[in-house]
Amino acid sequence: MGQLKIFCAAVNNDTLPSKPLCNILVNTPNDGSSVKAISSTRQLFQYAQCEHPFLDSGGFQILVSEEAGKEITFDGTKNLEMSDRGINIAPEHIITAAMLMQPEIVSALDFPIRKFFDKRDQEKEFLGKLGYNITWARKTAKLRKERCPHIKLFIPVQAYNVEQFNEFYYSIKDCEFDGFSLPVRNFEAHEIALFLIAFYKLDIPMVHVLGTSLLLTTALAAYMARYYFEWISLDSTTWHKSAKYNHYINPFNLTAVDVSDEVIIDEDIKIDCQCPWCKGRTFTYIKNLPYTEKTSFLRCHNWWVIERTAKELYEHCDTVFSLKQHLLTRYPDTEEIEKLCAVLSIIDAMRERGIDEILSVCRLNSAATAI
Amino acid sequence: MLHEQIYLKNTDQVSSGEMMIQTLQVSPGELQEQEPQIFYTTHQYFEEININIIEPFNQIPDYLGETINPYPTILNTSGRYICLDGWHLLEEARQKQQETIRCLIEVANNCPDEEIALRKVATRMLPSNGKCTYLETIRNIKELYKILTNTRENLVCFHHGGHRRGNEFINNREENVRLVLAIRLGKSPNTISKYLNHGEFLNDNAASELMATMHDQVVKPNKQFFEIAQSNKNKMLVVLKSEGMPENEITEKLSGYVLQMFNEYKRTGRIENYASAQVLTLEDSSGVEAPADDVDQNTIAEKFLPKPFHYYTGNQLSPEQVSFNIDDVKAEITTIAENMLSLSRVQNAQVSQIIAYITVSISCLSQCLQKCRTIDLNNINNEGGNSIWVN
Repeated sequence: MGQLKIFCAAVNNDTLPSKPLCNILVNTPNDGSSVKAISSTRQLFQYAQCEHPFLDSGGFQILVSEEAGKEITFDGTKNLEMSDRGINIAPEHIITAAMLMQPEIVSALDFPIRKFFDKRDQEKEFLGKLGYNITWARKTAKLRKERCPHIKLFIPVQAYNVEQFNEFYYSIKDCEFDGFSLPVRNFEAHEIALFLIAFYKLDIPMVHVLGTSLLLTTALAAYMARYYFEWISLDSTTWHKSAKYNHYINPFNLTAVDVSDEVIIDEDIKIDCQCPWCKGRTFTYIKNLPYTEKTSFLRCHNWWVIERTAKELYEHCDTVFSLKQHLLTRYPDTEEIEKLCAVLSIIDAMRERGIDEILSVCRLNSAATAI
Repeated sequence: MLHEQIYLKNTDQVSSGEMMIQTLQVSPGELQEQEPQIFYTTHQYFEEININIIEPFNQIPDYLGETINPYPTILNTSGRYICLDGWHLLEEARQKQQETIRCLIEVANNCPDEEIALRKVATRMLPSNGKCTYLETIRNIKELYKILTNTRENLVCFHHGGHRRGNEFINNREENVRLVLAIRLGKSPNTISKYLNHGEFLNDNAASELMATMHDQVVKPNKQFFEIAQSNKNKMLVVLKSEGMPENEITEKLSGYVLQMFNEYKRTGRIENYASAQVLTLEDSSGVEAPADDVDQNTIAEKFLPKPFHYYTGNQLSPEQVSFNIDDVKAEITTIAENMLSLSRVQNAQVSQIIAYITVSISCLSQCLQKCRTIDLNNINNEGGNSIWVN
């Protein structure tokens, strides 16, 4: 039985949603670019009583710069820099920051693939970035081994499907690392399941799912943590971003509920959240808080429900059926639940079979369900 | 020769007429005795007076919004009757062919135009009885909020003006109380929310303690203090809530912090203790501005019209626990097997058809497997539970 960890990303001393905050994810361009920034981050870890600090590489920031058409350079001999003009980042920067920051986990530098729906575009994008991703994964792994072998290394998987992942894995399999991190972007939970079973078949013990707090993805992670991996973690900035836009995370299905000044709330709609923030409060109370207090309240509530939901899902993961029954009580889209649970059932049944066989049956089943 | 010059003794007290006339020194060495004259209000009364003797005062235009009073406010100075507020009531009376109208008349002698102008502006800016302290405002709004929330009276009767229809009321008492407070106290709903927020977690003892020392201190617990303190209060609240502390204890603790913060504020003019002593990387908590609207929310209608509130309350009907019968599972397996058997007997079965059958069978079998595991686990749990953990 493995561990399920929910990481709090985009947090600082002013926005801390709870204390202690055991799992914090920071990124190199924002939190590890200077001695001062690293010192602040270490203070944050200390103040928050963080048990599992995670240093993400900053691939996301490269993606943002790329999409904004900014200059991107990868010169390890120059300083790490992120500005309005662009970004300069290299594996050396990641490992230097990790040495100074001393997180429990660091992820290798990656060049994220963009969202494309056309298969040909996806293939082009994957191949265009494969070279970078192999080179940087290898280099980060080498530097980590030399300079901070006690820090765990996760290698990000930038692939649209398991076949592409295999291609990437073939080129890095001799590197020493502890787990994979998987950006989910627009994958649905049952699609992520295929990656996870592929990782499992390669005996990967730890996986971090990047940037998500969706209910079904969390459910999948919970199930996989219970039966397949030593460690599955997730992170997201949803708790924070939602609060910024006056969104209250629904404790049942983790979707956003607008509580901005413009909404008209019927007093018959009661709060049924058990968090210490909502206890004894009403939606009208939240709605009418001044902006600063409202975002503060929402950050705390949102974080609490995301963490608590993960805990509840993990507790209901005895079997796929118990998970399904639990999901049906809190999520309206039964079709999505069916898809996820069907894939989990097949994976469970074919656990000892080869990955190609499992993938084939899962995909055929998905296609049959779609028809 | 003496020159008269007008100056304000206290701009906050214009309506009580504390404007003075002072005689000034004409030339060096020629010290003159000062003779202050105060344009104070000698008395006020209600009287029915002839509409035609009331003069408008146009140096300050009349207010766009109608007065909340049902009578005009008139200044009687040196025998003149000058309308300070409620000219529209005079117009209405004229239209109804009335000759007289009941007015609130305040008497102040020898008022020049400057004094009349000040009084006209002050009618809508300064409360008739003067201002109270910020702390008193917070305390009073908090009390009013409690009183109105708990009242058995229909809130409509506390709504302002002659037309107490309560059209703006919605099916939400809390909102309606805020609406009444905003209208009756002449503040925006946001300001009311801010007062309530500043008063939250501040107990009566702390408020009294702050209030008690108010008279002898230069630095007062004013709006600025509460705004600075609020940031610290929010941070401490996160810590206390995370500890699972009950609400009354949180109030006790935070009230103590507010007193401590005020002592620090008095000494230094700033508040640096508590959580803010940490090295802070400021993000959005210090900025009170809301984020820019998304592009897709940018239409005028979307920005200003009220939005409905949707909240998913879970699926209560879905059973939390299901139990499976092993005989049902066996029956399912039989069906799957029979389907496969019949497929194998079809002479001209296409490969695609066979693939589809096999896939569906695997899927069904995997579900049967899950059901068997659930039955198995239920049996184990009935014999003695196991423990799980997360995070």
